[in-house]
Order: sequence, then structure tokens, then C-alpha cells
Amino acid sequence: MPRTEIMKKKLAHLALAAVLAGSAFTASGAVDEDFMRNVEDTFKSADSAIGLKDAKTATADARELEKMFKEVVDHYVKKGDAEEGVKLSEKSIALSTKIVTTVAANDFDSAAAASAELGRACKTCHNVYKQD
Amino acid sequence: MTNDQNARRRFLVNAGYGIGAYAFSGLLPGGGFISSVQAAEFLDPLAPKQPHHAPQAKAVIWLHMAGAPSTLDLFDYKPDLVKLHGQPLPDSFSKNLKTATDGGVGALYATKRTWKQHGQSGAWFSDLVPNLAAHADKICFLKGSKTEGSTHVIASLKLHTSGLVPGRPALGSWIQYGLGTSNPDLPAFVVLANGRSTGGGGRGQVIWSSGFLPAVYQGTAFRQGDSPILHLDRPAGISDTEQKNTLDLLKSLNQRTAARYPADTELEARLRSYDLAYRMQTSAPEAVDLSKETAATKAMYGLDDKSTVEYGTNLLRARRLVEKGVRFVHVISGSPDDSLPDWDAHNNIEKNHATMARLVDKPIAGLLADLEARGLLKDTLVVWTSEFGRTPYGQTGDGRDHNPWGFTSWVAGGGIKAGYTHGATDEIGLRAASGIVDTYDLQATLLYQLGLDHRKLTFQYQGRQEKATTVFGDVVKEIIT
Amino acid sequence: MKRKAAYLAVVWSLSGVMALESVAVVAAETSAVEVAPRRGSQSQPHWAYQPVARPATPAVKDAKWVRSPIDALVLAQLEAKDIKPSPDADRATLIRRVTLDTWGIIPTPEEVKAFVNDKSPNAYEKLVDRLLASSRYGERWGRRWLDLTRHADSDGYNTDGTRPNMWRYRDYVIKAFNDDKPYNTFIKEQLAGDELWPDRKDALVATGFLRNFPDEINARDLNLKKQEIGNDLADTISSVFLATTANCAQCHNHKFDKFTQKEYYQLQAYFANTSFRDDVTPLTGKDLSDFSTRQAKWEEATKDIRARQDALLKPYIEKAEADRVLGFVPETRESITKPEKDRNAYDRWIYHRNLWTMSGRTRNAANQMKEKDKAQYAEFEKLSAELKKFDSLKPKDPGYISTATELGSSESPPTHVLFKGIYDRKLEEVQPGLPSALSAESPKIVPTATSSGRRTAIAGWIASDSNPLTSRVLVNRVWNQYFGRGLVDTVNDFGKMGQKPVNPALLDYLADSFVKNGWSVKKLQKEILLSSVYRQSSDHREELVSIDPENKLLAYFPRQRLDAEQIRDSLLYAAGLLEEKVGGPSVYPPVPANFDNRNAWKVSDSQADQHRRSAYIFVRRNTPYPLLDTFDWANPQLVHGRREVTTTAPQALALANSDLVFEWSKALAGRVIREAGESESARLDRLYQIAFGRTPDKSEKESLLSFLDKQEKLVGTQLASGKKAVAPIGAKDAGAVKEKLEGLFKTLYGRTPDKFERATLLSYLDTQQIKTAKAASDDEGAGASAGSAAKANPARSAAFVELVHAVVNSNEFLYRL
Repeated sequence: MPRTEIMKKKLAHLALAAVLAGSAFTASGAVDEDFMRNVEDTFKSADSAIGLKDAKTATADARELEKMFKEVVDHYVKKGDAEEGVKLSEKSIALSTKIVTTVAANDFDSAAAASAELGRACKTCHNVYKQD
Repeated sequence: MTNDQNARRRFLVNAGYGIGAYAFSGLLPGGGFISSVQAAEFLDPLAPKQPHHAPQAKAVIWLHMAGAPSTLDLFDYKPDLVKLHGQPLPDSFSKNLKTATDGGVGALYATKRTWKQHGQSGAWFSDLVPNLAAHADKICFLKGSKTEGSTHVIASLKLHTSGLVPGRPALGSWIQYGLGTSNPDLPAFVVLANGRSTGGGGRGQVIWSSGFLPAVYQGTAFRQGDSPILHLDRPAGISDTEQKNTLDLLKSLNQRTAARYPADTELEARLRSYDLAYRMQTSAPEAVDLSKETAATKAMYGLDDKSTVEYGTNLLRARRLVEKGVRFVHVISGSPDDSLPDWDAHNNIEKNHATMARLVDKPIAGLLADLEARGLLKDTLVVWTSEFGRTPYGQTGDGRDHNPWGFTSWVAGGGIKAGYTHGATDEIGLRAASGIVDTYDLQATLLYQLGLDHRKLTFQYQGRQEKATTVFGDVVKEIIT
Repeated sequence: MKRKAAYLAVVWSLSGVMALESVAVVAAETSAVEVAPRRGSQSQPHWAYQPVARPATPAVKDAKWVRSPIDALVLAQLEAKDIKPSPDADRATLIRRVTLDTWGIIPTPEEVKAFVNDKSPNAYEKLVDRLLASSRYGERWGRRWLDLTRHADSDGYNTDGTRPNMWRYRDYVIKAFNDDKPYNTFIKEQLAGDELWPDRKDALVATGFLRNFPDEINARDLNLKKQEIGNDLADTISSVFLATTANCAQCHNHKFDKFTQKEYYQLQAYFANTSFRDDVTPLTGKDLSDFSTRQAKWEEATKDIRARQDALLKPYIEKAEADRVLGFVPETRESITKPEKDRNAYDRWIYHRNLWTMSGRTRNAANQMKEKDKAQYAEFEKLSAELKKFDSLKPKDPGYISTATELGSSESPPTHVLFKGIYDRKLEEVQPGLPSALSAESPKIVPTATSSGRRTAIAGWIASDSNPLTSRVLVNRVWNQYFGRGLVDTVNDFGKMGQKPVNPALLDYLADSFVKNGWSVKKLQKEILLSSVYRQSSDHREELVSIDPENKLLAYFPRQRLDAEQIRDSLLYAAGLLEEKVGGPSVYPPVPANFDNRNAWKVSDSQADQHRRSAYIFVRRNTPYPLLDTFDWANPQLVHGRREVTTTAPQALALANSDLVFEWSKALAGRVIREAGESESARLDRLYQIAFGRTPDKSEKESLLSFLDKQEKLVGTQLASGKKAVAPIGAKDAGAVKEKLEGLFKTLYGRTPDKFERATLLSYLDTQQIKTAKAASDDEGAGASAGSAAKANPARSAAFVELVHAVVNSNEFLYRL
């Protein structure tokens, strides 16, 4: 990509971020800062449970995460112009599901890998949408 | 466990590590959980432990620039910002920006420094750090550094403990927990505070606390002067042999009590703590005694100059400590006098940064040169970082506000690519735009170089399996040799 | 042999608090002794929020052992595991234990002897009554209350400036414990004394509890400051009285305790109008009118001089004032520059707080003048000298009281939920209210003419007989202090993340009795102290190591290392140096030469002040007194619920190397010689009686004597090569010397010397005597022969001092068994 292209893309990203940041979590009811904190707490609990090979908690948490990320998808869809948010939250649902299935198969290594990947998805999304 | 380790453990037990009163679980690095019953067999939390993989580094010297320098005036050269000087922050940048303090968003504020490229790598340095610039090719810049939290307290906690509230262990504690100590006569995690900010860069002990890890892993703050820990000198009028005799008597008194309570490891620990205390009387002052350093070495660290002598002394001490097997030395930059608190330049950034840069520039350059000359740089990670950076827009006319969105940190040595730049901020230096390295990633990378996998180094606390970088953090592979 | 599960912990750092508590938690969770939830299923309210229910006294097999329902409740758990309790400790051990626990110092040999020989059936009860009646009791237990209150004599933060009035709160607390003030009253006075009893000075002082928050006087953002104080108050009261960790809810709904963010701010709203003053006079009645009369006279006489001084200072003050106001963030400036009539409740708080930043401005202005205009300053100085001439007219400065206040208004500023806890990101407004998990309804708030009444309301709810948390939390704190572990191990967290009670019935029994006994802390303590559980021997029992490795069921008494104050105070007391004066401004005993904060620590001139009990030592919030700090002293930055016990090399260094401890050892050696006379054997007996409450057996004595022989030889050689001998202090404070000294003092000063003056002189005389003796032995050309009277032998005297030093370093001294 030529440099100007990169610059344009970067600026577009920033503009998008600017539009969505701040207001994204507070304006539309359910998916707000508290909600995202709950997501993070639940995720931390799930990650810990995977480490401790506690299948029951890991599964319950991952199921909860699936539901939560569905709400996040809805949130970004409703919001509009938030492809990245939709994409990443959909990916997060898939990863939560993967945690459920791998834990069911007693494959905690894969579950841990999925959990790490989920952490990355969180951070990537935050880089775009979370501005403080 | 190998025979060597067993022997080592016996040695340490006999050599006098204390034994705490509390049952202890979850000691094994790599997440192996041991019950309290098994823990009885595993008595020494500081014994050297096997890393997860072959390490590239043995120690960290953590150069903590407390108060947050403007890397836009040191390393992150932004010609566009110079062009835009005096203009308001473009809307595309400023919308919904949660500003750090109450100064609001001022006009864009160009750096007033003169800039040049240095070394084979051609890295940019401002004239605030001329000595450091000479070491351009030893440094790996992380120009897309990013964090969260716009107050010093929160961002400092995140930088050091990966938490936003007090209570989590500092990175140095995790490292000690993961690797143990390699010199039983010295603490493995030492804090060297500089100048006025002896309280921890104003952030207090919470940034070098062991948090929920056992207190044994907490950082030890060394005092300035000859006696880094209180009471290292025998009482006046008592000779060494006299004291040794008295301590022998004490031991026999304590052995009587211990015999009455054979299951009490704490009594035994107290008995043994005197052996260690006795050895520390020699080992601790020796570790900070610079009298055997040559005049040339001292000059290299700026010990011959009033404005750099204190910070230089700390860095020279840091080198001596690392040489002796200390794993993590946290050096807080502090401030030279009452004229300013630290790097926190909300106003008059020129004066502040001139003073602060002068304070650290020569000593850090000296440290890098000295470590290299002694062959220590290859396995020592020198990390230059701060809780956040400062904004490209001005504040109160001649200062800059806090900027957690994008700033520069750097690492040298310890198997990190030298003369390399990773990541960048946007064209005005407001936000990290590429090669984003969050504090979690920086910590994960340092752990990796020390042979520890941040996903496997765990501790069980209140039913949760905790990790140094929480659920986040990725090793920045791009910067590893 | 199986060892108690433990980890090696030589802790390098000087203080380490948080971690051990959490380790204990982990350990507790994995322990073999699992306690089933008491009642009901998951859907029922959390155990701690259920009403206190007095349990039936369980039937036990070993009924003889039971002295009170406490014993039956403990024994029932033991018998369920087939464990027998331990027999009573021997009397000497018991009196040492109970004296340390109630007074914080060791008993004298005479007290030990009297108790051991007391054949009356209620000998122990008499002892307990005597201990609880002494003012030493309040000095120990009051200090532990201070641990919870983040009490300090300074602000904290960066400047850590002195708070000259907070010793009054410390004295209030000590007195409250000594008077056995009912705990419910104690709560009300501390939370709302100014609202409930505005005319009672002690009730104003009591609100020092609230005033203890860490602060930065010169904060530039007072809006933020107000929020920080609000957070501190909500967190502190929920932690201290309710063992509830509310602070997580500051930023988000509490994950575990169903404490919502809204409820957190509702709790804060009780304190929305709470301000503080540090300038209330402590005087009342005639004292006050006398003071005012004298003050007015002085003011009248000096009116002109002071007016001329003020005129000189005016331009400097005006400049400083302009800078000061400009230094605030804009939002703060807005509140403080409004005309008084336009100030709302919020502005009023900010305006009042802004006044604090004016402190020291006259002094600063004078310094400015000194720098800028020498001539003018000379004039100013001249006026100061003139002013000084009127000092005889001036009344003695009575100091001030710090108190909570609502600035004479019943109207509170609004409280908002804050987005992520960020102080200027206001969401919905909330009214005062209690968390629904804790209370179905919130108490009615009745404003007074000068106050919102909000604190009275919450204090009344906390202190009500039916509040299940308040009494449980307090009895658990008391239990924790006696047994080193609470019935609920997490003393500051009774929430879902905390531990469940190890003996819920016992907890409820104690809580219920406590309230029924009129919230009497002394009655509660007496019942615990008289129980068989408390009186048990701490002897090792091999069979328990595997059944109850952590002694959660208390089949034996848990021995404990003395805490920081117990160590220092007992050392001073043993040495005969402890100065037992109750109350008054804080004192500054000596600190090590390389102590960090030496500049902020001006050592007390008076020897007596240097030897006061530790509870009276000045608390510099950021740098607590080092000797105490080394031994796990309370962290004055936060609510400190439990003193941890770490075992560290710096502790060994402090006791083995500190000049203070060594001086005290010399004084103890002197006391022993003074009291035991010339016989070395009698001296060793006396030393053991003082330090351990027992006499050494034959083999112990032999090893002590062999140390003396060996050390004497070594010291003798060293002395021969010119080394100075260390010597006991005050060994001769008897008979003729004493009379001579007193006579000398009477002649010179018209009074008798105090014990420190006497000690100084005696130590001087001792030195002289050693010199003479040394000269004499040099003349003889031979070392003194072993076994001869110690007085003539400086080497043996030095050896004896070192022996004493080893004894006070020993575990038998440093533990209560």
C-alpha cells in the first residue's frame, strides 16, 4: 500500500474511533461500561477456571460470555458503521463456543489457547473503541 | 527435582531462610498446584526454580521515569506536529477525548528541541539526551506504547502490577516468584528511589508490593548511603567475634524453645533469620559499596557531577546488584530538588525536561556502556518506561497533559533487537497507530526473555488462578532476536 | 515427622502486609477442616446478613472442661473430630500471656509470684479484673482500634504535614476503652458526635475517626478532593463496622456481594455534607472565659504593633493569595470565588476546604519579605521583638480540636453515581440509602438546625441492636486479637469473598451476649479470658499436626510472636525505663541515623518522652516509627484489620543491632544487678524471672555461665588492647549512691532527679568506676579472675550485658506462649 493509502486508512480508523468512543458504551443502555466490566470479570473467571481445569465453571462462564458477546454484536449492529466491532464480537462468540467445546472434550490446552485468543480480541476491539 | 536442587534446597534451609507462619499453596511455577500438605515438603519460596524455557536474560533494570516524560520531546520526532504548531487539535483527533486533567485541550504544541538521527539505525533523538543518543544502536524503541488510565496512580499501578487498583503483585514480585533468587544473601527484587521521591515516585509501595503473592516476594527499598537497610552496623563497642558468640548463645536459647515446639516452623525461621541477618551485615553494604569502582566507571555514570551523582549512584548500584544475582532492580527517577516533583510537566516543560533529562541522560548512557563492557548487557534487560506519555497539545501555555494513548518506551539488552524501532504513533503523536504495545505486552515480553511463559506463571488466590498480566498480554515477538 | 504446612519466609522488606492474609485465605480453602454452611441453601441471604441467633449450649462429653458456653461451643467441634482440648497452661505462663494480651507488657516477677502462689479459687478471675481495670488496658486495646481508623499525626500523600490535634482522638479512644464505653455509643460518637452532642468536646474529638483520612493540604483540585474523601469515608465505615468491602462498587457493580454502584454512592451520600474543622477550642466554661479575657487583653495591648506588622505583610499576602487562587483548577476556582450568598452546599464545602490552603501564609509572607526587602524586614523584625515583650500577657496556647462539621447547614450537596468512579462524570443523582443486601429499609433522616442529620441516621443503624454485622464484626476482631485468627478469618470481609466462620454458633453466641451485655467490650473480653479455651496450654501435640494443622479448632492455645508495641514496651518495661504517663501530645523517640525521614522527626528532648509507651509515639503517616514498622506495625494509610506476623532478617537486625535495644539491654542488666545483688547465680535467676517469668534450670544456668566465661575472656583481651567496655546502666541505684544523688539534685535544682536523670548520672559514675577498675587491673598486670564479684570486673560486666541482650532477642522473650 502506498503511504497515502495507509494514512487515509489510519485517519478513517481514527474518525471512526472518534465517533464511537466514549458514547459507545454509555448511550445505548445495556452494553455500557459496567456491562463490559462484567464481561471482563466473567472472562477472567473463565480463564482461571480453564487453568484450574474446573470444567463446570469454565463452561458456565463461557456460556455466559457467548450471551454477552451476542449482546455486544447487537449493540454494534444497531449502532451502525461499526464493522470492526461486529466482526470482533462475533469472533468472540466463536471463541467462547470453542472454550465450551474444548472443555467438554477435556482439552484444556486448546481451551487455554482459545482464551488467550479471546484476550487478544478484547484488546484489539479496545484499541478501536475504548479510548481511555 | 534434581539432586542438585535438593542439595540446594537443603543448603538454603540450613543457611537460614526463615519459615513463615502461614500455610502456603500454589508455589510451583507453571501453574502446578500443590496442597498445603505437599507445601511442607517444599520449604523455600526463594530457591532457584526451573524456568519454562531457555532464558535469554537473567535480570531486569527497570528505569521508571515517574511522572511521565514527553517522549515527543525526546525520541518520537513528529515533523507534522511542528507544522501544525499553534493550531487547534483537528476534530478527527479530539472528539470524545477524555482529557487527563482539567487543563483542557490546548493548541498543538511543537517540540522546541533540536533533533538529529543517530547511529547506524538512524533513530531520532532530541538534544535533551545527547549521551543516550550515542547508544542508539543498543536500543529497541517501542513507539506504539499504549496504556489505560489517565491519572498517575492508576496508570502506575497498571504499568507495574497490571491492575488498576492496589493489591496485585508487581512484575518484580512475579519474577522472583517464578525464578527464585540466585543470591541467597541479597533480596531478589530491589527498589532504588532517587532524590526527593523516596516514597516511590509519589505512588507509594503499592507499585512494588507483592500484592496477593506471599510477602517474601515484595520489593526491598534500599536506602541511600552506606547502609542500604537499617541496623546493618553492630551496636557501638561490640566486636565481630563478640557478636558471633552472643548469636551462638541466642541460638542455643532458641533451640531450647524450638525443641518444645517441634512443629513450629516460625520459631525455627526466627532462629535462622539471625544467621541471614549476620551475613547481610556484610553482603548488603558490600553490594552498594562503590569504593572498588574506578574513577573512570564513576565518571561514566556522572558521579563526578552534582546534577547526576545521585541518580548515577543508583544506576551504578543497580549494575552491582544485577552482577550479584539480583533479578529485578526498580530505579525511580525522582527529582533532583524541590523545584519540580518529577517528569510531570503540566507547565514549563522546557525547564522541567531540561532538568529531568540532564538528571538521567548521562547515567543511563553510562549504564548501557558499562553493562556492555562487562558483557552483562546481553543478559540484562534495561527497560526505560513511564506510566504514560504526554500530549501533543499544550496545557497552561507551556506544558503538556497526560497521554495514555500513545508514547514511547524502550528496551535494551537481554536478547532484544538492538538498533530497532517497533511501532509508531499517528502523525501528531497522540495515539499509538501501529505496533501497539500495551503494558501487558511489555510485561509478557520481559517474562518471556527471562524464560517464563506469562500464560503459565500462575498463582491461586481466592479461588482464582491469577497471572502476572491478567488475561491479557502477548509476547512482542517482533523485537526478540 | 510431618511438619505443619508452611513456607520459608525471610522477608526482606521492612513491611509486608497484604500478602500473608491472602495466603492464609488460600490455605484455609484447602484445609482439611471444612465447615459446612450453617443454614439453608444458596438462595437464602448470605450468612453474615442473617439475624444473630443465640445458639443452644451444646452437650459435650468432657463437661468438666467447660467453664462457659464458649468452651462448650469450641469443645463440641473438637469432640466431633475426636480431639481433646489441652489442659490449662501453668500459672506463670498464663499470667504472662494474659498480661501481654490485655496490657501489652510483660508482668513483673512479683506479679507472677503472687499469682502463682494465690491459692484462692478465684485467683485468675481477680487477676483478669485487675488487668482490665488498669489504664494500661486502654493503651493496648485503644491502639488496636486506632489500627482500624487510619489514625496518624500527619496528612500522608506527598507533603505528609503534621496534624497537631489528632493525639486528642487517640486519647479519646484510649479513654473509651478504659471507661468501657458501650460500643454502640462509641460508634455514634465517632460517626456523628458533632451532630448528636455538639456541646460535648469529647464527642467532637470522637469524630476524629472521620477526620483521619489521608490528605494533601495543598491539593489543587478540591472537587476531586471532595470525592476522594467521600470514597474514603464510605470505604472506611463499611470496612471497619460492617466488614464489607464496598470500594469495588465505586467503579462498577460489585461482582460478588450484590452491592450495586448506585448503592455505593447512596452510602456515600450520608457523608455528602461532612466537612472538617481543625480550629475548635478545647476549652469550656471558666477555662474558656479566662482564656478569652486574657487573649483580649493581649490583643488590645498589641493592637498597634500587629496592625503595623500586617500593613507590612499585606502586599506579600495579596500576591500569595492571587497565586493561590490561580493555582486551583478552574472548577474549584469557580466555587471559591463566588460571593458568599451565591454559594450552594457544594460550593460551601469547596470554599471551606480552600481555607485550609492558607495555613502558614503569614510565615510565608514574612519569608518573602526577608528575601525581597531587607530594610522592611528589619522593621518587621523589630516589631516582632516588641510584640514579644507582651508575651507575659498572653495566655497559654490551649491548642485545638479537629472535628467533623456540616458548616452550620442542614442542606447537603447532591450525590451522583459516577461513571467508572470518575469524579466529574456524573450520572444519576442518588439519595442516602443502605444497600438492600444489608437492610430492607433505610433509616429516617432528621436534620438538625446546623447539620443534615445524615450521619446520625447511619450511625444509629450501624449501632442498632438488630444489626447483625456490627456485633459479629466486633466480637470477631476481639477474638482475632486473642487467638491470632478470627472466627471469620477475613476480619475485614464478611462478604461472599470472605471466609465463612469456622465456628458460626460461637460467633453468634459472642455477638448476642455482647449486645445483651450493653455492648460492653470489657465483659466480652472477660468472658473470653476466663474461658478454658483461652487458658489452654500451648504445648505441642503431635497428634494434632495432621488432624488440624492450622489449629482452627483451637485444641491448644496458639502461641504468637509479640507484636510491635509489645516488643518495644516490654523491653522498656523490663529495663525499668518505661515512662507510664497516660495521654497528651505525641512523642518522638530516637530513630536510626539513616532513617529516611529524619528531617521530619525531631527527637523529643525529654528522656521521659523518649520512653513513653508506643501508643504515644508520633505517627508520621508515610514513614511510621521504624522499630515498630519492622515488626509488622499497622499501615496508617488504610483500615488495618490484622497484624501479620512476618519473620524477617531486618527484624533480627533491628533487635541485634539497634543502639536503642542495646541500651535497653544495658539498663536491664543494671536493673538485674541492682535487684539481685552480687551473686551471679541470683542475677541469672532474676534475669529469667523478669524476661520469661521463670527461673533457669541447672543446665541452662551452666550454659549461661559458660558463655560468661568465654565472653569475659574475649572481652578481656579486647580491653587489654584498648577497646572500651560496654557496661550495665544503673547497676548502683541503691543505698548511699542514690541518697547522694538526690541530695545533689536537691541542692542544685530544688527537686529530686527523675529516673532518667538518675540513670544518666549513674551511668557516668559506672564509667568512671570501670576506668578506675581497669587502671587498677592494669596496675596489677593481670586480668581479673573469673568468678570474682562482677563489680570489679569490666570484662565480665560487658559479657553480662551481652548475655542480657541475647535473652531479649530470644524467642522465649519474643513470644507469648
